[in-house]
Amino acid sequence: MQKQSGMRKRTRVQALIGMGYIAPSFILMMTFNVIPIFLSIYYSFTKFNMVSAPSWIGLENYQKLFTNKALGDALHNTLIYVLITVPAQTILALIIAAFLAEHLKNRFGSLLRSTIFIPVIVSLIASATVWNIMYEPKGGLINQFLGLFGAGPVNFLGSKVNALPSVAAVAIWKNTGYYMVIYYAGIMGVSSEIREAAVVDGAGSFQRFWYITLPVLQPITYMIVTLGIIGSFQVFDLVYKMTGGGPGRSTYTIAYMIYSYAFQDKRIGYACALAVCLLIVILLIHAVQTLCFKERD
Amino acid sequence: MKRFVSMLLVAALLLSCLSFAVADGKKSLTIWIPQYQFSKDENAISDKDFWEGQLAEFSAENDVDVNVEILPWGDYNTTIYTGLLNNDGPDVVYVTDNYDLVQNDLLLGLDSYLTEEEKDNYLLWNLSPVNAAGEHVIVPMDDGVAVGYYNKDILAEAGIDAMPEEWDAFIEACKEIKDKTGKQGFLQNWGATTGTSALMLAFWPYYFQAGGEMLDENGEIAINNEAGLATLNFLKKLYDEGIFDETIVAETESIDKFANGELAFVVGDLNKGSSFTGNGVNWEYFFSLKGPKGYGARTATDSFAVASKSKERGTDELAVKALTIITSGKVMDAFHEQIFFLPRFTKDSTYTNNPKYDELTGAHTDDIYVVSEFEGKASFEKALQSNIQMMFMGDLTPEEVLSETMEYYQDQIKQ
Repeated sequence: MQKQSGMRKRTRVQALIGMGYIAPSFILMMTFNVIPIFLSIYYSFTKFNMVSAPSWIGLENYQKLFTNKALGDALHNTLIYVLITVPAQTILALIIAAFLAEHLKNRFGSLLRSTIFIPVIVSLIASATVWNIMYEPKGGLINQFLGLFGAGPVNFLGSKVNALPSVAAVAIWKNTGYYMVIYYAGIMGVSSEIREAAVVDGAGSFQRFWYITLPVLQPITYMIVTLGIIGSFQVFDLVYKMTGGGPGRSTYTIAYMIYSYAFQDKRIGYACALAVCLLIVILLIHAVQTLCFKERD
Repeated sequence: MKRFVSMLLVAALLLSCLSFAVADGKKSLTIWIPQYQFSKDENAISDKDFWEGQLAEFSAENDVDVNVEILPWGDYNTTIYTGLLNNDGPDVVYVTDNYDLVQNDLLLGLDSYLTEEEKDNYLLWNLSPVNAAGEHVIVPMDDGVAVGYYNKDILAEAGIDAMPEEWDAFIEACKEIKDKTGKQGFLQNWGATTGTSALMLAFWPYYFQAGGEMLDENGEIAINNEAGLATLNFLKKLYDEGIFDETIVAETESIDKFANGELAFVVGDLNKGSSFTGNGVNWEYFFSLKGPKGYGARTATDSFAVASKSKERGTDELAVKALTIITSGKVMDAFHEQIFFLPRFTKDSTYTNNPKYDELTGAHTDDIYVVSEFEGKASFEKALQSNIQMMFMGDLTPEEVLSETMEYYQDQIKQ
């Protein structure tokens, strides 16, 4: 009896110690992640400008939002942007990682890996500025290059057809290195025995990739696609620096709208309603994605 | 040993308490000003050193710690808005867009703190907005008129003897320049990151030249009128006639192009002349083009103000005193000489950088307009910029630009 109570006491002490360990990160997460979500939902039903107390206006912000023509454009552009960037950066990262792991496990491969990773550590605004110069229709590096083959000049950022893909291309260039490193680590984790057995069975490198590497990497792909979708839905800085949402509204995105309403107009309630809509769209897409991956499992 | 360590700890504690007490006894004043020193000369004085130097005497006389913080221009308006909400925010602040600050009573009414003589010294005091109590809340500065520049050599090469001022003559001259020299006549920056940046040089001056007024009798933005249409038709004609090409909607450094001698005309801030001269451009000023209703140029009035919160902190009187020193002719003359040239905005100021510029603007005092502040200005200007870009791309007519922008303002921006 005494032994049992001693054990219970020890368990309680251990639990307390455990709670002590997680408390700092728990408090930080609650303060900066969880509580703001609920606050945003509350503000979305209010008129709030950060100065006077929020006043409850019910669904007015949402009603206004659904008649906002710019929202349709922003949603359309954001979806197109996600559809361009996520598959491209995921597939590119996978191909590069597989190629490096299969054929370049040497110093040159390491150098190449580091080189591809460099864009990840470069400041986004600096990258956007350099790409803006490279995209210049007159004298820009890319158009000069195209000129060598008698093509161009292409108006990359000043045409409503080209602007969004041009911004997306910069995002792909920026993100591929990061996902490539994750894939590379995943591929290196694939048991060498399985690969060797496949070689003995006469599997070629494409078959090894398709039947062994790819299935093993499925959890990583799931994570990369999820991160990619969330990151792409939040695209703001590249658009802000490279096109300012234009030409017209051809690169106007939801995150850019949120910024504009919240921080330029100080209409926090309206911006929060928009942010809640974005949250719902991301959750829906994430649910569909989870279902797809589960079905494949 | 233990006793010695304990004594040391107690002594340290007492000393820190003492220093807190001293610090508590002395008031402190925080001043927020954006960066204005852009000179690449390594001997140029920094903004912080300049302001600390100018306020050193004030600090000693009033026994106050003056904390000058130099802020970057990026998102400056948002930074000061949140700063002015904060109890630890600035006491004296440089203000750009003041509409939200005034509406939300974040700026201190100055009338009761300033003498009649002091108010009279401010040349643009009548442009200062008033708060709910009817008190003026800012000291407006004159940021200078955006003027036109032309490249005399390009005009001569194209056989143009005099600056073409009328809108139609200007378009014809640009076409002639392109035909005879292969150089571009005129360029605007319709791809600027914010609507405000695009419109201040590429739309509002022409709207004023067309006789437009920004606000209606209720203080609301109203551009759906004859002047708005005339302005858009002029801009569209610049595009249709090939003066602008399809790159007009992407960000363009038109000033750089003019400085490189690639452009015949440009509109820019008044302090660009020296860089043009430095690049060997043979240039001359013009006040503005002449629209259907005459000349019209845009000026900006950034300002200095005191935070309402300073009253709660008990630093309001000191803050206003600091404000009067900062905006005094003596300090501003030094600022204009050592940091950045702007026109004078007080009667006691004597500094003039460029007599030619003074002469030019002096002859057109009635043709200088201020871009008004109004509710949701940033979003409105962004919407107008986007719709004008769509006009260039053939998606909207000038009439549709006006109606869609105003509709958007009524439905989405106005609260």
